[in-house]
Amino acid sequence: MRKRPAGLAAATALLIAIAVAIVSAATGGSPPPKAPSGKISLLDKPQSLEDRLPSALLELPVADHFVAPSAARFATADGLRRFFLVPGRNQSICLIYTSGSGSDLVSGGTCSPLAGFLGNGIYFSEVLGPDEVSVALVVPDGYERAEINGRVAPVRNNVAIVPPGPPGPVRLSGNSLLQLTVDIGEQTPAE
Amino acid sequence: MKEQGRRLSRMRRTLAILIVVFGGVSASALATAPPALACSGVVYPRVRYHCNVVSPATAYTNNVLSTKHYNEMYEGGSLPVGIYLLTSGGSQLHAVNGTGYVYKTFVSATTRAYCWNRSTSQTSSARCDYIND
Repeated sequence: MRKRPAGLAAATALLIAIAVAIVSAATGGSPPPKAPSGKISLLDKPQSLEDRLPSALLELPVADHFVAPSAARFATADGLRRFFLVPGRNQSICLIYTSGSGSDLVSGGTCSPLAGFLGNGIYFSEVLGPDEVSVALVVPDGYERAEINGRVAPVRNNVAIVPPGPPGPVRLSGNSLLQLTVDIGEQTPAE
Repeated sequence: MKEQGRRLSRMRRTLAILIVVFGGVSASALATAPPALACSGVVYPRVRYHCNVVSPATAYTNNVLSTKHYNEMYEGGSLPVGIYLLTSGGSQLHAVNGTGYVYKTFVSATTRAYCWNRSTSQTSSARCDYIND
């Protein structure tokens, strides 16, 4: 077997050392941000009483999208609205909220394939007035904050509810993960 | 040829009657409006209208002012869809948006319901003005 010249090995080592130094300087000495896993750990939690969906919801057509109502998990609440994640048919996930029950049930939500999760995001937004939008979105494991134009919301159980305000892209950050941006698009149709 | 012409004219008459009976379904001026015939009328007792295809960047309504209960808009993938309500005066009461599929219940609002394909998707369909009784 031929031996590699000592000079070449030394040059290679030097190049690697320089590359590491450059990356380290660029990131302030901290490791580079990691890519998100796309996992939603809330769905792996054991079922509890608070996960139960209102029976009136199961009579609505949206329930046809659920794999099984028992797989729903309560994520967080915002005033009267209770947000759930529900595994959907065809490898999708539903983000829904409910308030009230029986004939007073109010509910809304969205279902979307998990395949497009990290690219397009899965969000549900309500236009509350001119230039005022409330946005709830599904967030993969690891992220801690969601932010729209400086309005910051914590992520709780893979769901973030950004306080009402002007619409804009949602930025997810935290835990040294690569920042993710979700474009929520036009919120009201053009005149 | 004459027989074919008569048949065509009969078909046109039937379609016109259907549109009058069901109030018609129209597309908003968000894009070139596709034919209203893409949407059907009442599917008793649950859907006032159903659109097999809602064209890209287009919103449909049946122009019926009534109490709305439930609307849903289906795209099938991860593209943006939305639903909104307008009063007779044209002011917007409520709008919700989502990805792939979106639904919303409505309580005691006499409005026009719109189902809105917010994307370039050619596969979006809608069930608007859904009746739960």
